[in-house]
Amino acid sequence: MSDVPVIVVPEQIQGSWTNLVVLTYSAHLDFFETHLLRQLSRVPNRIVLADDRRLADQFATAARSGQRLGQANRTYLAAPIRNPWAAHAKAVLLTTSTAGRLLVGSGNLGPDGYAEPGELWHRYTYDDGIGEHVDVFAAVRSLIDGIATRGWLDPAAVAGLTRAWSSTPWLPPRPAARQPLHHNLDTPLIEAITAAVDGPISLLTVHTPFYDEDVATLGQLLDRLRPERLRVLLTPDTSVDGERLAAVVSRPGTAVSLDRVGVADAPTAFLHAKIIHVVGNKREVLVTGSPNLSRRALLLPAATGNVELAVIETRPPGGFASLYTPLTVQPLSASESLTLTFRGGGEKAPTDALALLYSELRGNVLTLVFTTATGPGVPELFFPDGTALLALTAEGDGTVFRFRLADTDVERLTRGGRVDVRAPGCAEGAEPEPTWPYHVDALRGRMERVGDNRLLMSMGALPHTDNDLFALLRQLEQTLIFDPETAWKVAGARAAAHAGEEGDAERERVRWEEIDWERLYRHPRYRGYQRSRGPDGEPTSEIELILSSIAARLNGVTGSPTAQEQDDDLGAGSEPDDADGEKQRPRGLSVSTRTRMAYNRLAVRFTVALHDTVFQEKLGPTLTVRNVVILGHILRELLRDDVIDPGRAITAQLASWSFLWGPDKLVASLTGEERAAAEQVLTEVRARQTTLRALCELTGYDVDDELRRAVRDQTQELLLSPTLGLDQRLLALTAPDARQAAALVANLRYLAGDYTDREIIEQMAAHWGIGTTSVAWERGKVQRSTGQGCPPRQSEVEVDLIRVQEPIAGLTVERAGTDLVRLASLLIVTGVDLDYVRIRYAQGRDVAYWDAVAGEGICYVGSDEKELTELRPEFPAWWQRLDDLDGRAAPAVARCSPARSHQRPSALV
Amino acid sequence: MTSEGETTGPFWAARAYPRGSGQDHLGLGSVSSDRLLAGLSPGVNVLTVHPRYWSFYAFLLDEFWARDLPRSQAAFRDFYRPREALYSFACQLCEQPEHETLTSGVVGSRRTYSVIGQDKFDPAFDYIKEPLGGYGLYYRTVMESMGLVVLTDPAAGVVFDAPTPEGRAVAAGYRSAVGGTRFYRDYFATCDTAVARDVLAEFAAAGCLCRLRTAATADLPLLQDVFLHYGEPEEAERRRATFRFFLDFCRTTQAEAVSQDRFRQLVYFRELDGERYEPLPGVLGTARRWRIYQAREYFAFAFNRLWAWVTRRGLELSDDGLTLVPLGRLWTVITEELDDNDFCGDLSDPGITADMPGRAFADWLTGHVDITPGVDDLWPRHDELDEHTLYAWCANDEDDAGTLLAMLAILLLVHRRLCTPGRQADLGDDAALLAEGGGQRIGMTRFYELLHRRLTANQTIAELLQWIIIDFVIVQHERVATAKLPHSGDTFRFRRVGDALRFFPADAPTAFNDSRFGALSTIAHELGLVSSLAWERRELTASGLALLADGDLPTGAVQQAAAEFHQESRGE
Ligand SMILES: [Zn+2]
Repeated sequence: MSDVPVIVVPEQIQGSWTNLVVLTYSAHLDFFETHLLRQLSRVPNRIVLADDRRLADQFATAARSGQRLGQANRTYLAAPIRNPWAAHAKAVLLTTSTAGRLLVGSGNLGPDGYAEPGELWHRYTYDDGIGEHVDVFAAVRSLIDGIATRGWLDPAAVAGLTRAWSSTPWLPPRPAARQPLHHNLDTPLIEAITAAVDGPISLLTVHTPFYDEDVATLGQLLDRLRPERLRVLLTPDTSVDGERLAAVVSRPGTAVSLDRVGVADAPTAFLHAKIIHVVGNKREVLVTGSPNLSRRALLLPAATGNVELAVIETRPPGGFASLYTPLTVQPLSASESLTLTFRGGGEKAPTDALALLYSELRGNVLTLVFTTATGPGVPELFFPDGTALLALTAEGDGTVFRFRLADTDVERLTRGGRVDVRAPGCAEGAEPEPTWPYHVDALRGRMERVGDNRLLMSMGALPHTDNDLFALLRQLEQTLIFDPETAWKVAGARAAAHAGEEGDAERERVRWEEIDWERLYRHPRYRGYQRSRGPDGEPTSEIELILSSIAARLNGVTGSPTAQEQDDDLGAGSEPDDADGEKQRPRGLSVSTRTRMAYNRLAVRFTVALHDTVFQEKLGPTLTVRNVVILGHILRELLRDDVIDPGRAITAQLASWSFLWGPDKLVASLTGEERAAAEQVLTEVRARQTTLRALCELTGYDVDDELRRAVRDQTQELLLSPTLGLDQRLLALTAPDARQAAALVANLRYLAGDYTDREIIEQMAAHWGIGTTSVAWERGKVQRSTGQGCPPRQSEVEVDLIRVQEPIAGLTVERAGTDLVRLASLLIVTGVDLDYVRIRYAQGRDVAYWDAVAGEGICYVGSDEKELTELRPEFPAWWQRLDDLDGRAAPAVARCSPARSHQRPSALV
Repeated sequence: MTSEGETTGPFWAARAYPRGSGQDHLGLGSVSSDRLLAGLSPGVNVLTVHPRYWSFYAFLLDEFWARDLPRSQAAFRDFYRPREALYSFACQLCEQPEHETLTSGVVGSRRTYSVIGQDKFDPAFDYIKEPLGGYGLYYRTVMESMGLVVLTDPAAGVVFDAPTPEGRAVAAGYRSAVGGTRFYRDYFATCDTAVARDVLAEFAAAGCLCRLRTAATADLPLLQDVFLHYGEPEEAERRRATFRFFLDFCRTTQAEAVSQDRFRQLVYFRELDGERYEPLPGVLGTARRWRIYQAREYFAFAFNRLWAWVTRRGLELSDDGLTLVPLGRLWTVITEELDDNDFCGDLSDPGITADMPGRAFADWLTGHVDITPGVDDLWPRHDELDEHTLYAWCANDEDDAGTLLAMLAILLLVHRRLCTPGRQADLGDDAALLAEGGGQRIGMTRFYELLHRRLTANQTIAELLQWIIIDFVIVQHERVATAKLPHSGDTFRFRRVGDALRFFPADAPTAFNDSRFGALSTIAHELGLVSSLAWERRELTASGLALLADGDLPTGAVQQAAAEFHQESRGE
């Protein structure tokens, strides 16, 4: 079944859309809230339209079993469709102002309908500019609008839909051309099916899980289509009267087979898909979607039947062959067909008993709307724990009641959940009716608060799904101007081409000379970088919002906006302790190659742009400071979550630190107001502390030699950078605890002193002005005093020494002493606890050594000899800066301290 | 597909979540572990069994910080793993008499045990998957909660986990115990060569988990102080009270070892093997809260056992999940079997059928089980009908009407003992514990309020069971399994489809949640307060007797030992 396309429905229902509209018969709101909403957290307008009775059942069960459904009708709409019979259509519509995704199929909102095999779906996508499938989307809109105009929706749902359509300008109210979606608002579906069929029919295959009690609809279909052969696919769960079925299908001129069908690799799956497959000579027609073979689904319009939505597709013969690949089909035995029974249920006649239709919260006013007039008096309202709501005023006409509530009650209501309502005059002891009020203001507010770049606003912490992570990248590209490519898109010589996700590889190199800078400076995206605050001091521009989100994150405000929205998470934390003890590591973000590669590319582009000084100059400090802060933050988070190649991320980090703090670089070059403005941003986002912490975190990575050296050199530079200004005060701000501050210094020391043995050779060779091939480490035997005895005993021991194979011009005992100082200092810097250093020169028996244990040394050059009684290392300035910071006295290498015997292994390998 | 352009379908839906076996299918476990037990024994959980690990890990961290190494997870991992691997070996090579009472909980022993016969032990041995072994898995967070370490927090400028002055004091205590060993002198610093058996055995003699009891001049007094006094003061007080309670009850039924099962009975009834346990006056409050904890366990077991009943019987009725089972069919089966039950056994049957009013059933039960003693009194046992007997009778996979009735009986008995309005009033502030779980995880307060209404409305046994099974088994299971989908996969055992149930073939184990008895009793023993609870004839040590009598032991050891490190960290 590898060539049969499959779809994982929850994976389709995520991303940074603006609107979500779900049509469903039953709505498993718990599934929706605890799982789907997590991946829809960036979608402001979320609407679930479900069959009224099924939804009421769902709410009643939730109320009875103490389920809070704290987000229902508050962060999303869960609204009933009040048509007379079942609202049975199933679709998922996702839109933004420029794009759309639509699923139409057989599954209801819930784990069965969305997460299990056994359902059939169609998927359509729309992208502005391509424009494909717009009529399919329009067909769904016309169904939804038709439901609304028939008065089957509550006002809050209608308002939500209005918001959806107005933010989806490309979506017309009705299709302009033929397309495969059909609903039954005006015309029964059987008409559309018959119309699609042409000519004699050789085979009709049907499968639906539900039939009429009298199997009349299948009979009607046979009357209309008169197929030569009929194949009825059945499962043990098909709700049909076996005997009646046999009677209905047995007719002259039609060969009938009753087959047992199942999902091949999921034998226990419930086959809920609906299939009417008509095979003619010239073409085949496949009907899928919501309708069962029942009267109200196929034969009646919505006024007297259900609301249904079908996909009626026509293809050349054989066009639907792969449909059956994942199924097992075998003849049904006669005895099996007898066990088939009609289960009934499902279709309940409309009633007009007194019931609460819906409730709405607007400001402090809670409105209740009943189906018919209640008895005299006003309803009583309770919270789930039994506390009564305090109504300051209450007015009503018997059907509609308005309560002005106390602030504390409103505050409690706005946290979500239900209100229990006891209608006036209802029986003593009767259970109150639960209602989840529409939070009209909150629902509207969600839409108003956010623009199209929602991911950016919560960028302090990275999003949790791969899709959102990927979307964040696109939004960054659409918000920032940080490299020639982004600049060119804003103000390139030609109008920017459609920025395809896949086309990057072939994208021609952008020449920034083509950028129209004047146009760029006028562009809203450029102006978005200017500091702007609303009247309440709240940031208004997107850049400011991003920066404040980063600042909040660095201030320890870590919760993502959805965190407070979550109810008690039943799934998490309920697992007992794992006795076997191989627990999962926390949050292993699973990231696709696509996303990883895209961020790798971002890092490279950013690095290249930072090195392009002319371009950065053109951008100006306002942009560059903010870019470095924002992208630097992202890089650090990506690195920490293992979303990016460490090599590329670290390279970009180094470039950004150098760009920001380097001598004569950005900050250093600014003066006056410009400098003050930059400093304000840097202070708000704690850029100096962040730089130090991020730098310090690099000790955790194994990188290649070249990058390791770059990290070392950059660290040395930053330690001495006057603009970064690493001093006691900054250190204390970065690591408030003394020991942790020491750890930070230790890590900086480690990074800055990261010389391999090979690099020590290089340093010494440069010092002597000779080629590195003439200098080498080697093991050699020397006489040394050992032990602490007095007088110390001499014995032969192996040591590492440096051999120079080329004569050094002008070598004297003094210069040899300097060489020892140099070598000893280098070794100490690399973290070696100095014990013994020896340099063997090329000529004669020239040698110099220092024995730190004995506290003595000697230089022989030619016939000269100089005894050493002390060796004072000379350290680089960055080392002294670190010594100042951790108050560590510079080691005078007169004696080796016996307590510290640890050696950094790599230094002498 | 043959259609031109982008494929629009039809697509068959694929499974969105892999099947997972899961645990705790009604989500009740966290009420016990995260709420009730967290209140009774803060800082100790099921898997933090040996107090000396607090010393050992503090010691390793301290040694790490004493070296010129980068403060990164990678550097610590490289330092930590070889040393813990060897410690895992050492703790199994230990030949000391104290080791007799140490039976489990050595980190990494699952892998190290398999090669324990060798002569030399490789520090690079891959003893556990988790990079930071037992520290990362179990002990790190509890050590933080007792104030021995601070944990990495980039936002707060904590570069890497570090021992606090108190942690360094404990580390120094441990170092004084092991400082003279050959292992510490010759191997510990580099830890890069294989270590001989006798070297590790000698190290174990000083540093093994079991030898804490003898470390009176090293880390023992420090750890006693830590466990009794450190962390949040209020938490320390509750932890101390629980240890005192353990020292109190373990003196009864001296002829037998205290197992977790016997512990539960002692805690709940205060009567076992005909012997009575009367808590000392100062222990009464703690004893009452542990009793409420165990009541919650019986309560939760009843639901979990009904869940298993529905799961297994449903698989039977659905031909292993191949067909739907209409809910009506399930009720018919239950009713028919209730009408033909043999729940009463040798007791005279008052006419227990599906139609018997629940209240009458409860009256019959309490006619046999004496529930008149109050919330702080001894509760007399009943050989056939008390909660523990019913639990033990049903802790199997026999899914008959008797099981249904036994679980209902447990719920009714717990109701009358602790959860009627009168009994709740007697519990005072502790009644709040009954509310734990709320609406999400079947809080007892809420459940019994609803049950009370149904009993008053004279609902029958069948009606009550139907209500419990729908609202607290089926709906609850659906909710929990739904919530677990993203991280644990599809753990549904059944799910409603319209008016029917679908069943999914998978096992349905049921057991109590771990009461932390193992960890708490081991800690009490290894902290040198009492002989092993896993043995007969427990004897309290002098410290144990003092703690029992006074409710506390003198504090100050840690403060004194930590003073120099406080000075150091202030840079003096
Ligand atoms: Zn031992």
